[in-house]
Amino acid sequence: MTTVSLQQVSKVFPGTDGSPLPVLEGTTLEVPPGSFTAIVGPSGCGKSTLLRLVAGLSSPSGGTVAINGALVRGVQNTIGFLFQHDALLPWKTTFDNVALGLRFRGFREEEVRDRCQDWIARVGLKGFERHYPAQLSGGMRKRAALAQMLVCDPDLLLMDEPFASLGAQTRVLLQQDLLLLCGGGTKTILFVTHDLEEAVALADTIVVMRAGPRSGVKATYPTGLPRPRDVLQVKSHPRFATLCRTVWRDLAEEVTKIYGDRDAIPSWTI
Amino acid sequence: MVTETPSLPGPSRSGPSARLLAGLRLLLGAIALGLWEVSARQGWVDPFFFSAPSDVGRTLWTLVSTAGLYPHLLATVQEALSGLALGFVAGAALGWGLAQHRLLGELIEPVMVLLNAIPRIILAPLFIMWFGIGMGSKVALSFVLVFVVVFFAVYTGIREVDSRLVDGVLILGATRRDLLLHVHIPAIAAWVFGSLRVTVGFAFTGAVVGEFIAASRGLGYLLNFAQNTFNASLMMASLVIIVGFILLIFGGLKVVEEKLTPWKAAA
Ligand SMILES: Nc1ncnc2c1ncn2[C@@H]1O[C@H](COP(=O)(O)OP(=O)(O)OP(=O)(O)O)[C@@H](O)[C@H]1O
Ligand SMILES: [Mg+2]
Repeated sequence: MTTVSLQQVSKVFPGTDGSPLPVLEGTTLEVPPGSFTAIVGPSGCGKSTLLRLVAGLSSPSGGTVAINGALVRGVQNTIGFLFQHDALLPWKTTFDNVALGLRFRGFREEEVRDRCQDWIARVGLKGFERHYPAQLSGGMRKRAALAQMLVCDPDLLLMDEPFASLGAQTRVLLQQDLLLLCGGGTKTILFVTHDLEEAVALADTIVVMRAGPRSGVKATYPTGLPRPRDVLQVKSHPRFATLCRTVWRDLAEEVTKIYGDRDAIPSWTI
Repeated sequence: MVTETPSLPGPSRSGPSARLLAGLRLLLGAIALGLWEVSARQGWVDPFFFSAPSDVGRTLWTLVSTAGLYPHLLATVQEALSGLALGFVAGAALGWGLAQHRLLGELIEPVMVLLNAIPRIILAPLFIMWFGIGMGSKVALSFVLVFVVVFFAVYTGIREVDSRLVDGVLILGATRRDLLLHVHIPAIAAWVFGSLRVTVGFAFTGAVVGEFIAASRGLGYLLNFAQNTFNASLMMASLVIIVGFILLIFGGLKVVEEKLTPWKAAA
């Protein structure tokens, strides 16, 4: 099981006009092993940046990022990362895309086939193995990417708004799947989302980030909702609505820093 | 599963319209040839300078049937293909190499930009002086025309590979070799195929122009000979052979491209 620890992490990007852009500053976050942590925050506050730092795709300007106590240096290739953007290779079929991780790691072809077929079926893409990404819908591509990540069975999952572009029904199904898969507490998950209900329904801990620049962790809420859970049933749990409201109040403050007018933000979804 | 749908008028128009277009093109070509033939026979244009399709056809047949053509065709094809192959390998290697080393890339890129900007065909007399009137000078000319184009195709192809795709496969455990095999090469395949058509044309340009200036064999030599003997039919026939040969290669390339980059056909 995996722990992730960020200590006083800062990240400064070179801005477009030459002046440095401090995106993260003094960000400290401890992710306990086997926990499901949801990260919410206004758009542009640095959530994707934070995940990239954990994955070693980008290095911090200050502070330390560690996985299992070891400093992150260079790209981490034993973790799972579901990107906010499309990252399937356009020249590979669904099957070959899903198989990439296992093949890079040198698995035998029979095992690759069995595991990939299993996962392709689990994300509902059976019959689309030989399709190229351009022939899949946006939601299907997301599901293929999910299978691509999970087929390698990584202990640490970084997920950047994985379900954002999916239809409501597919989303619930995949949320359910994710809970089944990872709710057992064997996987450590960092999950970025703009959907507060999704965050409360799935996570053990909700991390609210401040509006950028110089963003960091504003508050951390343990949800204390029971496991195992059902995505739909948990929404009728007495604490669910209270939690959503509490976190939303906190988050709305940050969002209004960006959009100004609080009345203009109607719901829990940012 | 997908079921057979009756073809509707509207969205699936591409079939019949493509066929119609091909038919119209053929018709247009036939009309142009017919007009040319009639003009020559009626004396509207001077057949001495303009020849006539029937004369060109007869010359073409003579060339093809008497085997007088083959040494020339062989020479040109050899020179063009050698220049193409060498230019391709060298251009791809340099493009790949410079894309790996930022400093070296920045250093040499301006030279390549300059080479790209000038009409490289002006090097022909220089190459003939250096390499003689044999095949060497023609191969060199083909090479220098092809080399620069392939260099830029590979160099920009690698540099503009979507870094997000690279991040994705690195997380999945790709080694440098995997990255080259599964990301860089497929990504530049499109660029290279795009440039291949241009380079085939360039390879033949280099060979023919070289022969035209100084040679004892080749289609360019044939052209030059026709010009010196005021043989319009021979000149036209030579042009037809050159164009026909390039079109043949284009057709082959299209087949190979569809085989090697099936995802483009799918998109
Ligand atoms: N490679 C980069 N170079 C320069 N600036 C960057 C880079 N990546 C991100 N930024 C900047 O960092 C800030 C945070 O970006 P990031 O993508 O982490 O936001 P986010 O919280 O994920 O937003 P969203 O919710 O909209 O996805 C933005 O202002 C962005 O412009
Ligand atoms: Mg983001």
